[in-house]
Amino acid sequence: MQSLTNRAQQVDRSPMTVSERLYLPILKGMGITISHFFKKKATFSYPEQKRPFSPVFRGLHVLNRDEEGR
Amino acid sequence: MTLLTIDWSLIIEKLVLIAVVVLGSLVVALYSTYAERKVAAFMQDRLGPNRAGPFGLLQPLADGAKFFFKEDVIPVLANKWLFILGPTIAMSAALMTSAVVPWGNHIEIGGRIISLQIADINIGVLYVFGVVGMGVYGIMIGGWASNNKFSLLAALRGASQVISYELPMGICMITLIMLSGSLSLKDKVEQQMSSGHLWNIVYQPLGFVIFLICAFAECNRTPFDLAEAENELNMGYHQEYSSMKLGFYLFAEYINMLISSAVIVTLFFGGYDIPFLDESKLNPNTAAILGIIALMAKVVFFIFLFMWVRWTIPRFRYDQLMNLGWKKLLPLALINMLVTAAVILWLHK
Repeated sequence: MQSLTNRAQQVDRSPMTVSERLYLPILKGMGITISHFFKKKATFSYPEQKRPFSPVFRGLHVLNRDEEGR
Repeated sequence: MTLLTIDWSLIIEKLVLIAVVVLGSLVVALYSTYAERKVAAFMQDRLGPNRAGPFGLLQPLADGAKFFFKEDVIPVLANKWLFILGPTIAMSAALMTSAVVPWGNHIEIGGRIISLQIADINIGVLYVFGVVGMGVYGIMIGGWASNNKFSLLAALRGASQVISYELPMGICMITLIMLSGSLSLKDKVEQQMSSGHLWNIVYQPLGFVIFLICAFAECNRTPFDLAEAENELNMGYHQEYSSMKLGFYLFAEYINMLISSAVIVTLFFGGYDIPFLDESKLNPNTAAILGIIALMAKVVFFIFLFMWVRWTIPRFRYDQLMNLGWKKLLPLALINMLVTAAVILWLHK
């Protein structure tokens, strides 16, 4: 079957290794979560802290007409 | 003539101690819910609750108040008394375990020695097991009385899970009893504190890992929260519960977490022992207070570990859970026990 995107990956169906059967990769996952624990947060505390607007931001939907009224 | 003299000061002292321990564990459980939400948020790059009070510190109080003001619904077809009994058992079983945990060494007030343990009974370990085993009745009764298929399934799962994981846990406990020769938790701590003895984690690393996994399962925490699998069982055994009855169930989980952390610390990490410090040289009151702080620091670490694991790994499938319990942990625990017994025999010969 032809794939729709170029991101398709073959699923790894090899049998689990000893470390995987002992659930050792959990420790790796715990390393990832603890590294996120100390990362900078993506949150903007909205009413106090506002995101900067991009220079082309218009905000309001307004129908602009040219000088001939089109 | 008095046949039985009552030591009133002893009774007052114990009552004060019980009040302090119960209130203390309630406060810790209250703030564990806050910590859980904060830890979850931080691990997901969010900030977590930060609106109620400074850093959101009043959030658990707001949650509690909300629980009280919710409508308390008892389903028409539910068995009313058992429906009420479920959360009651869950909560009281969770609180009862704290009675045998040594929270610190003794303090001296006016020449009177007050032990910072509610009851130093000589079957402490068995008591913990008995009461933890009772905790599952809360889940079972609640799930059955709700008259809901999902709740019943969850209750069945919870019961079989707790029973399966109690076995390897018990065998680890037997190994520790062989090491110390006593069932009292206080004796265990004192043995680990005495010079020439290291903490039990050094002698029983495998036993500790098995015990920790079983503690996760006993507390119904992720990855073993099969009893409240939201996506398969619509919340599980507490689906029909609302208001403070639900609050009791959720609260009991956090108290269980606190108590099992305390038991793990007592059994494997020397309880209120401060590493590399000889407490007997200090003033007993200072030593006791430092000991309580040391115990609480270790307990907080383990509560954090519970949350860390919860927000890292997904739930086990039911057959994986049973495989892990019966085919992996139980044989490992048995081998661990036999090897320890052989080594103890060999050293004593």
